[in-house]
Amino acid sequence: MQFLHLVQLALYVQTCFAVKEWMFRKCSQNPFCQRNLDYAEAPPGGVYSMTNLNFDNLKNITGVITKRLDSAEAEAAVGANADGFVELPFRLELVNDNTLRFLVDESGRKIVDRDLENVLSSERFSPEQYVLDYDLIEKWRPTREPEMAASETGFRMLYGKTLNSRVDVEYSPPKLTFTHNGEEVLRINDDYLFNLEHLRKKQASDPMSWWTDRFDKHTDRRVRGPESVALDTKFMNFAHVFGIPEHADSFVLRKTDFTGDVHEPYRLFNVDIFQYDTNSVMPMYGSIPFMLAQRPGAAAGVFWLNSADTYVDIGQQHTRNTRAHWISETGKMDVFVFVGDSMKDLLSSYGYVTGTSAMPQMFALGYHQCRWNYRTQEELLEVDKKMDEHNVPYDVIWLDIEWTEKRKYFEWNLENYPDPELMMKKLEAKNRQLVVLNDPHIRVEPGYEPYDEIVNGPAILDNRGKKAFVGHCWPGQSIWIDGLNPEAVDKWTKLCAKGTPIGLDANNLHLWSDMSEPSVFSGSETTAYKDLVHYGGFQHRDVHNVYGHTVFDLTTEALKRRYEGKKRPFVLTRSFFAGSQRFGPAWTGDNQAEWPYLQSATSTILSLGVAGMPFVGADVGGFFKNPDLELQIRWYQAGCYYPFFRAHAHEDSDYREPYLLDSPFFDAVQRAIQLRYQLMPEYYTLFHEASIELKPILRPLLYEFPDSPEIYTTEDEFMIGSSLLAMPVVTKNAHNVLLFVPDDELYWYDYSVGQIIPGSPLQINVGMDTMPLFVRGGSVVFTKQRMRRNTKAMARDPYTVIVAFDKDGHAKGHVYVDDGETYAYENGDYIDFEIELTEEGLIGRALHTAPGYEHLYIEKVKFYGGDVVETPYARMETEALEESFLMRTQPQDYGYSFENAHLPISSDWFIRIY
Amino acid sequence: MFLKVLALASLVSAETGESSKDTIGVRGVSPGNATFYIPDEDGMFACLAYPDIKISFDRVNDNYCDCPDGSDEPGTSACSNGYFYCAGSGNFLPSRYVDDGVCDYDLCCDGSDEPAGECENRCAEYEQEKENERHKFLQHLDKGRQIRHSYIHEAALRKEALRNKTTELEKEYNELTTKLKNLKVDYARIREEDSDSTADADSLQALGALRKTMNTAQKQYKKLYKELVDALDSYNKINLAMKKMVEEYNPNFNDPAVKECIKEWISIPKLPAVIDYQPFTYDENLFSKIKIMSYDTQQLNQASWFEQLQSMVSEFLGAWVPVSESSQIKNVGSVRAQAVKDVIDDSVIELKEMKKELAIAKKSLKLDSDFWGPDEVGRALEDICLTTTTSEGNDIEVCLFGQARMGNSNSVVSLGTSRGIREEKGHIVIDFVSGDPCVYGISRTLKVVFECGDVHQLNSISEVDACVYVINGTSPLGCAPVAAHELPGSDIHDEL
Repeated sequence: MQFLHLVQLALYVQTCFAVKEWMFRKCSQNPFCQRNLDYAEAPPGGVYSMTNLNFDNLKNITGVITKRLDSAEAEAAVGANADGFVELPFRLELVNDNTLRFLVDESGRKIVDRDLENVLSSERFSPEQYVLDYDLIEKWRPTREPEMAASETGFRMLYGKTLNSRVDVEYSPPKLTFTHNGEEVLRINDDYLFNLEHLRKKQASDPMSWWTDRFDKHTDRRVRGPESVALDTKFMNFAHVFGIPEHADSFVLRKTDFTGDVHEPYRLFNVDIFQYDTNSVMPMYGSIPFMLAQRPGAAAGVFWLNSADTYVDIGQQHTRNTRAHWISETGKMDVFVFVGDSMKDLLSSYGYVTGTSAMPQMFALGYHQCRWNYRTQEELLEVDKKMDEHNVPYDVIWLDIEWTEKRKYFEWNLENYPDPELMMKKLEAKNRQLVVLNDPHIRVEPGYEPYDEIVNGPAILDNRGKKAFVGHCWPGQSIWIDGLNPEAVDKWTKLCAKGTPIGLDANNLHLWSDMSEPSVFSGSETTAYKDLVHYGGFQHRDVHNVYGHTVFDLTTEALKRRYEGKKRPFVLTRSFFAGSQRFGPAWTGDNQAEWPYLQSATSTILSLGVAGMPFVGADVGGFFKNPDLELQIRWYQAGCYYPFFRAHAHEDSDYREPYLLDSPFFDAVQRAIQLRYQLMPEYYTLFHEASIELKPILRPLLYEFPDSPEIYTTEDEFMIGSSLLAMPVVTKNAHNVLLFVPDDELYWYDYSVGQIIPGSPLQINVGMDTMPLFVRGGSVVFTKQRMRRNTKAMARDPYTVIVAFDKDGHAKGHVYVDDGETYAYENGDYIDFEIELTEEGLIGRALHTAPGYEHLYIEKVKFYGGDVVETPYARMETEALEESFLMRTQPQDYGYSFENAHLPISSDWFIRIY
Repeated sequence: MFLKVLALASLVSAETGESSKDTIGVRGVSPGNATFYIPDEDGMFACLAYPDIKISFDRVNDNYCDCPDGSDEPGTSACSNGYFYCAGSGNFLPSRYVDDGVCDYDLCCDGSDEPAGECENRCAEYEQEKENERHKFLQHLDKGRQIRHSYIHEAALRKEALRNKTTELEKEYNELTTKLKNLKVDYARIREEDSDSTADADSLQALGALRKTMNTAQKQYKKLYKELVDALDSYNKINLAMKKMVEEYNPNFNDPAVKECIKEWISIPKLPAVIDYQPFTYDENLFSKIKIMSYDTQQLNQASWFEQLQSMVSEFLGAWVPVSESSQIKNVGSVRAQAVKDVIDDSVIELKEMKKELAIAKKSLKLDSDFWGPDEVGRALEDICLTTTTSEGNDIEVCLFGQARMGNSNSVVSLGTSRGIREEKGHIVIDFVSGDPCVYGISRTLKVVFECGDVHQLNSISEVDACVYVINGTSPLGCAPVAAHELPGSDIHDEL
């Protein structure tokens, strides 16, 4: 008996610091999801058919999908026609060369509820106006007219730049088959899981759960009844699928139906998931319903544009096909299908639909020092001082919620921060930035300006649509700004403006938009009740997943206006949706100082990257609890590669600023942070690429090496851009790591010593300060080796360039430079400089140049030479012969170098190498 | 040769502007090192720490690092291990601060760490500020030392007084001991004399036993009552803490332990009106009356009253009093003997208290400068307590040679007991150990660090580790004589 007691206690202790699974609905606890899983067991045939097709515009084919009902159901339906059909207008739109959009709506809807018929919209909701980037869509319209051939039972359309993609459409039942380069890649509704629950009047025979159910002490009343949308998309001959973040799970998505090891679909439902677990399909703070698959030569992607509660059930079929069953509670059925040669194509096409990544200010790529909380002005300035004294570079210091008075955002706690303007000025004198927390919930307190502004304005309304919904969050009783309301941005702008308490007149103040899922402590599943009413008469259930995105949008816009459109705004968000990449960075929320969270962070970041959200990071060190020395060091050594590189700690955690460590632990952390600053030119260039084509910053190997299927599932190594390969050490007591490098045809060099690696797999011994990082042969990497205190301090410093030979002695790479702050680059005020190594010598090409960058130059070139045996002569050749001169070449262990080279990056040059 | 140096010097000064006027020729070189920054006869420069490595002098400050010790680039940021000499402040700063777009006036008041024209020369105001600071510090130091000196005087006086008190106490103690010895002899004699007069021996015996029972019961009651009060106090504190948790807990933390705890708490029946609880007041008079009555021999005849009393007492107090004591009837003696016995009992108690007092005084005397600090100065501040408030609004009280506590109106925790004064790195430190346990059962500890100041003051408090607190403060205690080089503003050194 005694023994039994002890065992129980042990179990309890183990589980008490984990997520409360019972607080979140599983598919079986969410009636719309379970209905569709049941539907999938035996989908009825002959229900849906396509008719009335209009081929006038092949880029926008329209028609109607009819849903046939039996007489009883026809009676119950709100919008059935005389023949007992519900009409579902659809359109098949060629958005760009690689992208077809299949959009299905429902006509004849009206609200059957006396209280709400004038409050709620009868339309199905689409978040598209918040998500799509119409300017880019316009810019990237299809370059070639598609070609079409129709028959009695369907039609076939060729599209794409070279008409190398094709869709075959069958009418009854509706089915779409996509082919790329002659190979089938995707089928839609192959298993007849297409299901759109039309609006109907409540019937006595209806199961109760269709209209109402109770979960976590809350009753959800669905006045519109069942109205889910669901569809199967089958990735043909793809063993793996990726994407649909955010989950703390492996990068390779697991099979979640009976073919897999986890019998619960991935859920996309933004929640403040307190103390989340790793290896979990549970929902998290953000959602991007975008799934990708790749094999050598072909790739296919599906973007399910729906912001309601969504589950994605993944299964393996016929050994090589992977099926995704998409299930959303409400909204339109809106599917974007991308095809291409590789994931790269999918991602750029997706970017041309939802927008590319915002170009951040340079400081945003530096190291961010955060903690809940630097309690006083004095303490914050002390941290700033200590960082300098210990030579730990950093750009941004953060204040968590306690900067406020009574957790009233927009108001400083003047007792603890008596002169915030002076504090910010002091930081500004060192070119450093301050970020303060600013959430979308507002304390209920008449007389408090934000409350007064919003309570009768753009607030989320109660379930009657009458007045502002009041719930519980950090400040106690709170109301929420409705980001969907067009008035919201003006209110937020007014509150964030200069001269107001939040930022006074500081020029270096930025914002952190947290809790925007929204997190509602008193709500169901820690979020807003689904029957709350938003702008336009939509229920929260329709808009839920895009809410955080709209808050992110308006906060970014408010800040942009605060700086009069002259500076790129910086806002960090926790919640996000497809399209959020247009605004700025997100982080992976409240992780824990445990090894599994360090391991999981990489997978989540890679997953977010391929799903179009490149500017992300995880809290370095782990938010909850205290990391031991080893974990803290390893986390810095991995975190310094995260696109968003921030250390953060919980209120109950010990202080752990880098300078509190003793040597040699301090040295290891300092080195990791300094490495990030060394690589800053490379990172900035990658962010520029992400702003053009939505390329990830950290890339899974399969993104860069689509022809090497053996590395498709590798997720403990990744590429930083296309030139660097990193393998952070993420296990406790590691003495060595086993490195796999893709593609035997390539040379790989150790980043710091330039030694070529003998082959793969390769066992690498790792000490506490080892950071395995490799340069891909054939690339040119731009670095800055002078260690400064922040990015701005480095701006004038010269470059050190690594030229890494490939097998043929060639290499190529470029660097992007602008003022790091304003939008002047949009008007051509930037440098794009390329260096190429050929048989003749080293060529410098200004791909784009602008005045004002003449002072920037390369002070050193390191040639990672592979098999160089002799240091060559090198002569800078110019048109005027008398100006030609010999480079100072010097033999090195790795090959050779040009010393004190003084090569400009704003004009062309050529160095002949003998 | 000479011309070349001049040319270089003018080049450098052209680049760095005003600031280089203060140095001789080469930017970032200290006067003490100036002689090394002249080309040798071959026009070369020898790296300072590696004189074997020579480079052409035009590579000095050419913004490219050549010397392993960074000495060829004193005026640029090219060498990560280099140093820049700032003439205005007369000190070195790391090369990373050179030309980084930040005017580091704190380190280099003339702004020469940045290219000419980017920073102004603020040396005058920094000098003034430094001078003011120094002046202020010296004033504080002076005043602080005077106060400290007066403490030493006061401490000596107190020690003397304590010593006198001890002597006096010892004397009194001895006298009382003698008196007690005599009393005991008297008592024995009276008992001898009384042994025959057993007129109502049984009653007397019973009375004696009853009296003893009453005394015991009284003690027990007092003890139980105190325990009850303590328990109620604890209960009230727990109740308040739980109430706070129930009202203010953050459901976002969704901690099942918290939820479970709250649920459990709600289910436990509460003491009725706990806050207004009026404890049963212990009636001293009642006990006195009973005692007096038991002496009153006239009452002895009223046997029935006595029996009633006896049964009542045993009934009501029986539960508290061990049976053996209440039922055992001993021959205690006559009333006269009892009177003497009373005096004896009182004397014993008095002696005990005296002994305690004496021990405390002796202990305090025995503690030397290891506890009271140099010159036993702490004696002067034995009963001083300082207070401050944390940024979370908790009050802190630090009794320098007693307890340190932290808390608010709801709860107070001990941060430990003073271990006396010690010195650490020129500061006066008082450690407090064995405070109330916090997380994981670790005892809280506190370290108070005093710098010199003319008033006692606690400044910042920080929790440097779990349950380990540090408070910085000022006190005249910290104003020990210091060497001149430790004064602020005297950290000027001229060489690398």
